[in-house]
Amino acid sequence: MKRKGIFKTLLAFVLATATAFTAAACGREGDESEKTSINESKTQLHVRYYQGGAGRNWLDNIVAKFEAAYANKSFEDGKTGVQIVPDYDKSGFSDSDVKSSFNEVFMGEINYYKFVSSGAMLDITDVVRGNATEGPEKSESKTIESKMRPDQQNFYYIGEEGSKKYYGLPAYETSMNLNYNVSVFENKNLYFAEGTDGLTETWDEAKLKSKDVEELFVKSKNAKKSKGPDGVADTYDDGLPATYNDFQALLTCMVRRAVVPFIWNATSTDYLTGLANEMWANNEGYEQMMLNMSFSGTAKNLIEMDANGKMVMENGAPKLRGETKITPAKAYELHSQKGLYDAVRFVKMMMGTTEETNPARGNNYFYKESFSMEYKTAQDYFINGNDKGKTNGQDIAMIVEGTWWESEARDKFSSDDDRKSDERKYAILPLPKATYAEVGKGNTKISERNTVAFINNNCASNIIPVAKEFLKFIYSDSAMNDFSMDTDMLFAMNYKLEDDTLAAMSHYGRSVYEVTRAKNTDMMEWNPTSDDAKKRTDLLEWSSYGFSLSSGLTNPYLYYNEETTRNKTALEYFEGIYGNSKESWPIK
Amino acid sequence: MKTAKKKLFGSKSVFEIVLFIVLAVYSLALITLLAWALMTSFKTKDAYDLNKLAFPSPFSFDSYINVIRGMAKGISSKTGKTYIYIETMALNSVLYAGGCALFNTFCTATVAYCTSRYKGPAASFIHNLVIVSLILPIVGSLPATLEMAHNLKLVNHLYGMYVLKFSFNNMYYLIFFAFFSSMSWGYAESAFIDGASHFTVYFRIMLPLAIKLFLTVFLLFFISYWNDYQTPLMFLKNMPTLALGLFAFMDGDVKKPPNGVGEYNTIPAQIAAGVIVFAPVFALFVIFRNKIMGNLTEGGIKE
Amino acid sequence: MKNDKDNNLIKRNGKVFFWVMVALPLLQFAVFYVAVNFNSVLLAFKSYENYTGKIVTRWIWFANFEEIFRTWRTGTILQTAVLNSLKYLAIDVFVVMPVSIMFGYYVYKNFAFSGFFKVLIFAPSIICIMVLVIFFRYFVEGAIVQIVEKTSEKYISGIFFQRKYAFYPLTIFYLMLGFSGNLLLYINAMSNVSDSVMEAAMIDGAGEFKSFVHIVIPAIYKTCVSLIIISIAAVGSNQAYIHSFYGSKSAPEYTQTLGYRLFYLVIGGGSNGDDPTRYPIAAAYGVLITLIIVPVTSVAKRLLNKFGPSEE
Repeated sequence: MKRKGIFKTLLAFVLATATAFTAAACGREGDESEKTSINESKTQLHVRYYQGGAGRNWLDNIVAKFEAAYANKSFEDGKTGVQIVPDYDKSGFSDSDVKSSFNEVFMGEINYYKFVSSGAMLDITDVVRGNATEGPEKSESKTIESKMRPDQQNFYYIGEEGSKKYYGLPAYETSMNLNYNVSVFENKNLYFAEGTDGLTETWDEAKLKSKDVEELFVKSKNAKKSKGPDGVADTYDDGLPATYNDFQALLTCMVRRAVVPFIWNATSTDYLTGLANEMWANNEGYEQMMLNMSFSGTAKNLIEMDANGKMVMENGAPKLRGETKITPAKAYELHSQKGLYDAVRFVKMMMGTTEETNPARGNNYFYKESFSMEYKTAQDYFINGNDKGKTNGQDIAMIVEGTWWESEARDKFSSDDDRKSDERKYAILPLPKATYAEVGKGNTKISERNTVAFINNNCASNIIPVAKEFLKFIYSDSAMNDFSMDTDMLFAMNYKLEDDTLAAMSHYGRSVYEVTRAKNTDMMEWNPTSDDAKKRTDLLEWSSYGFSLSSGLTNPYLYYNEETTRNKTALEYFEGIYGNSKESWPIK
Repeated sequence: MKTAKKKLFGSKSVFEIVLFIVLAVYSLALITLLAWALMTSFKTKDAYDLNKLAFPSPFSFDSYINVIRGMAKGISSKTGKTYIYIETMALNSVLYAGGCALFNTFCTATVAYCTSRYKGPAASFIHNLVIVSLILPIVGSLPATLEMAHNLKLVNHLYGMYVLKFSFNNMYYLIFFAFFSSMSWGYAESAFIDGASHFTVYFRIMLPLAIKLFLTVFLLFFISYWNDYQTPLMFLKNMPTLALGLFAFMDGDVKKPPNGVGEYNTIPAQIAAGVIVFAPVFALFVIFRNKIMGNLTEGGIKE
Repeated sequence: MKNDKDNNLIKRNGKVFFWVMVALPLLQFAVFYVAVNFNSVLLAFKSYENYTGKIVTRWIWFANFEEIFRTWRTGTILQTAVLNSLKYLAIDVFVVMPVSIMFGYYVYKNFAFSGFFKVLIFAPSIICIMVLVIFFRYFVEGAIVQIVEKTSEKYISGIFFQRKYAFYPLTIFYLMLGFSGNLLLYINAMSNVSDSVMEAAMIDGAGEFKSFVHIVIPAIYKTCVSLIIISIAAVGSNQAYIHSFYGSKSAPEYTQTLGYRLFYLVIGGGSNGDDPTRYPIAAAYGVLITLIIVPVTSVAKRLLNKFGPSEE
């Protein structure tokens, strides 16, 4: 090709591309709203926020309120009021980024110990031990510390004995759930009818998978429902499966009524492990589950394992040991907790198969593309799938997602009003109990991710007071109500949601509050609580701690998805978990 | 080496025919992949969800528009956020990849030349240093490197990246070393006799003789840096490259549509982003393939 | 005519030239390799704690190594990682290299459609790897799975999360990038083969295959040896693009290589980002791998040089 010919081709190519680009680029909008026109008469405070599933609206609202509340307050000579300059981004930040950043306040998912020990975080003990505030001279009557649970205080208050300090505050709470579509349950009559409590206790697997299950369910929307997992009538969990047998019956009923029970995503297969952890904690209860966070205490619910690591059975059920002292060197014994075994059984149930094959789910209970779907697509299918004809005309009943999912999926709704409307009813499914004898016992939920609010240790000394005021403002009950109102999530703090907040939240948001703040629910954070455990945070990875095998597998759902291990019993898997933990436990 | 273009059928060796078949099959697989990607980039999200194999119906440019509007990285400053879009990312990629490749290649070639032609304890030491560093799988150095780079104020500056990449402990050192070792020293000796300095010999005789290898290695480095998103992710956040932009686009770090409904980075849009990034570079490569690849295969040191 | 004085001057100037030219590279190396990594290597013999808000490291000597040996003894994850790393090494040496060389020969000899093939083989190298991963992953998960379902009525749920299937697309991807990776180097090395020697071989009746084996291979052998040694040396750090497919969430254990395992230990998607308490174990892995690789590389180099073909 001659030189001129090449040049002409190249020129034509470049011109065509440039024209197309320019035309499309004209549609770029919204950039100006990201810029802040600096008001020199005010003190600037720069805030860096990891804009994840919770979105940014809530923080924009709180910022506006803070600026209004402090409009007449002077923090610097010659300046009155505060102007917050936002830096919101979906990308994370390292401790090195923080130390070289101009941002003064940060909020994001971080490794707390790492950031503190590298000198990235300012001591905010006075903030935490002080009262939250709604403005100058508008302090609350209680300290921020009093809103934290003891395990949170234990984790965030660090240092040598006698010189401990707070460097950060837990921000929003996250837990992994089976989130169900209430409308589907109502329209397909998937609630257990009144009088069916405990009925399935003696049913065997064949019966639980037969058409006999139909008799357990309500016949109409207004029919009275069973008591649910809390064993109390007229509560939020009425009609929901109370036991594992109930849950199997529900799955059977769903597939008979052309409902796909589950959907999840492949972007984050660890969500599934998170759900398995939730089941483990729910079965064990708060006190026993917390032994895993300290590697010490008295275990009361361990299954007896023989010298070969095999489960000892008694009358067809796992034999329990007596009380067992747990020390760091023996903490592997916690992998023989009955709650863990029951969690494995629950996973196996979810990953069970059906006799008939269905276009939407094959012969599984989950939507067939779940293990190759992006999280956004899974959310879309759960919310809109049947409407758009993508799920072979079937509704999807439940999605495995964190409490942030609905906020994250805002763009899947036609508007915010649509999201909060009565037509969009989603809720957290309280996890069923292993047996009917345990119905009525409380629930335990886990918040795994550490989203932390803190101040940059390099914050200029004249800005520190502003930054501290802002933190105190965010942690006021009023601001946390604003957060919940917008995101339908909760801050990892004890605070009451006002009636107008609840009224403005979506059905799902109210469910989150109802379930996680119920009197019979204990919330725990997946954080070490003893020095021995804190020294080995590598062992306490929530995505691999509970269900690891010697092969390196960490995810129980992937275990049962594998064709080679699909038919393994829960017992075999559980013995593998215990054996691996015992053999490889590094603390001596 | 050039031989006359041969006809496909005729007195072909079995070797040539077997190679042709293998190449044809491999090429077909690659073309299928690229064609499927191109086809998918013209689908709407719903059409893709319903059928991954069907032709686009409706045929839509939405994905491309989404990429041009949504594939953006926000750069923070004290006055808020500025968005860097795909065209600026392309420029950043050229500057990042080109500069790093140049510095890396020059440093590698120079050290290899010095250690191969200026024998001595120092040269042996450096040579062994390279071998050891190639073998030693250093882990955990990224956080320490990031901290060092922050301390030296190299982060978020192009010159900082050039400094970071001005290194010689890479596999091409061995290639250059072998090349310079086998090169005749006669040219240099003649030049010394004529009064040339060592610098003159290197820059005006040896380096030009190695130009084809230099350009080959430069090209390989360029490609490597063009594809690298991890280094810009950690060290060059304020100058996002195409690779980083793509990574962010896939990861969900994208702009939201102004009305808040829908998303820019649907799967067809991610594929469209890939096409936008890939097609121009590929087109340029095809147009200039002879210059890029042809001359690199010609010549050698004349006997 | 040169005299001793001139020779001494040239030698002295040579030393000046040497040190001037290597000074900056050595400084860069000292700062960004030695200084940065020095502590990383020492960490292999230490413990790392930071839960008090201060970094505390203690000498624990070989305890980290004991933990690695215990992991080896009590599980199979390390064995799997080693095996996978060796698999990819074998693929590099016995599949990628010979096939790339033959592709390179085809292009070098300008056989039919060589121009077209040259561009296409090299294409994966110039495509940004993120692009290739996007195309390939969605093609496999979407199109291929749909084709299999239509033809066999079997839906493969999560092909990248199935032990039975994951290896195939990952290996094909690896091959795709491998074939194009060093193509230019081989062609470049082949270009040094003398035209006269090739023509003489043809005249003497040597066919293409014989010319390839007896003339071209010996001519490029040194390049091949370098690349084999590099592959062996990199066996401990080769991630085989696993991270590109699975991100920082842990890839299924049966896909992991040693390189990915180490990367995940340090950077991987732990509960809350990377956890420095894992650095000592990762550093210990690094030391162990080095201790094994160094002698293996040395022996391999000797053997390859001793028993390989020579240009003569």
